[in-house]
Amino acid sequence: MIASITPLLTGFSGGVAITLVVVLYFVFNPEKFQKWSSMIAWLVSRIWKNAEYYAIKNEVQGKINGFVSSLESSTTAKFPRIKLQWANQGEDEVMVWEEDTAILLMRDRTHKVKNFVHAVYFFTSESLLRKSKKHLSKSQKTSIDLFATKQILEQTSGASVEQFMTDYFLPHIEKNDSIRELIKQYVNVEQLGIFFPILVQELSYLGHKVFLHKPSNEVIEEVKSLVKFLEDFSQREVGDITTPDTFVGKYTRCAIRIVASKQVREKGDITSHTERVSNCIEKGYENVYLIGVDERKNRNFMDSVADAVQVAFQDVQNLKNYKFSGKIKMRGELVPVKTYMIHLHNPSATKYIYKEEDVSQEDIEQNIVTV
Amino acid sequence: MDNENKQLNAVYEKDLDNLLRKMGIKEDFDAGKIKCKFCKETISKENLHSILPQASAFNLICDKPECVIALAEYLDERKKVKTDL
Repeated sequence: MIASITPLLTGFSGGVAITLVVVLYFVFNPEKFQKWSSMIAWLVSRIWKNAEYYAIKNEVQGKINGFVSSLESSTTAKFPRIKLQWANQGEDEVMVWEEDTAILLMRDRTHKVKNFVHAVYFFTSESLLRKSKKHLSKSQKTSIDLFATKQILEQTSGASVEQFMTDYFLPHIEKNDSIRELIKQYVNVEQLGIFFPILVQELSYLGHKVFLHKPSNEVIEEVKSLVKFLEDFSQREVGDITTPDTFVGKYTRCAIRIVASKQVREKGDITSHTERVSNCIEKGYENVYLIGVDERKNRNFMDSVADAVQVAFQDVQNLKNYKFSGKIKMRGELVPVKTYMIHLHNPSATKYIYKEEDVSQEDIEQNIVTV
Repeated sequence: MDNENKQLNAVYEKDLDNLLRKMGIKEDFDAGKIKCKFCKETISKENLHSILPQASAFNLICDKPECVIALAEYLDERKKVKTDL
């Protein structure tokens, strides 16, 4: 965006043009502005103490919101931005207490890491997948919070990871076997790079479903199966065709289709891949993820498959194309790969309200679905 | 989807005394009479994580990771209860 505007600015003098580019950069990247202004405010706070409020606020907001932006580039879901609100900043401020809304203590510059770890954990537990988590078990919720917080800290504040791992992560997984097992699965899923683009994405869809019959245990079991399915898929050997690449739950149905065969690609024949994906759409899968090597020829081939499916099924949406790094297993060895993924969504298969009788009908359908 | 802003309420440590005074718990806090809602350990300025206003009282939570996680779980349960009402 900025690159496209820059030539327009060449008519201005150098200083004005640079200023405008910087302003435009920050307008389009508000979280970067928060991070930079926080750094300046920390310097100012050495001589003017009140700048500390600004520095802490912008550092916490900038880092967390920066991660949320990058997270949104890994899923189609939208996540809330954080806004830090100071309580009692002015001595005479009249306080209105909001019940069950925690007020976090923020300390001075010597405790920057602690401030940030507390804020990030609070953000993930309160905001990330808020709607989905109402359907999950305690272990599922806590394990997702711990794993997602670790991911946020790794991307935004390397210095905080060590403190988080020592204080929160390790003690918790040492004490709780079910959390340890779930985290182990997330690590395996993330090895392929699909923790956020598929698992968090599917949980986000689940969060928008309403169960009139409160099937808590069924959903908990289904999420367990979904995680296991993604773990098995992530751990499969290249060329293995025995590991399932489709998941059929009562409330979640998704398929992963690998589009990477060199022979087929070089022939330029998209028919077989298009048929396999179309088959998933016909069988009522809500989401189909096409996954393959991130190389130009393969990307073009995958795009052609997705286009052909959309021609055949007008409702199907190409929601997002991703590029991410991961590792795949080849003869027992983990090999780093760059992956390209296309998320096709089938809105006509999406159901938002489930009644008790729907579930038994789903059971019947589940038994006849074979792709 | 979940795209609204999430407000994170925070108090800066130099405003803490004043906030506790407004809550009417400053004297008890200074006397070491306030315990963590979850582990019952005495709360001080050094180990305070957060303050949770509730209908009947102000609860304070210490910064032990298990108590921070317990707070997240507790708030989650409270939200469920409110949704069910």
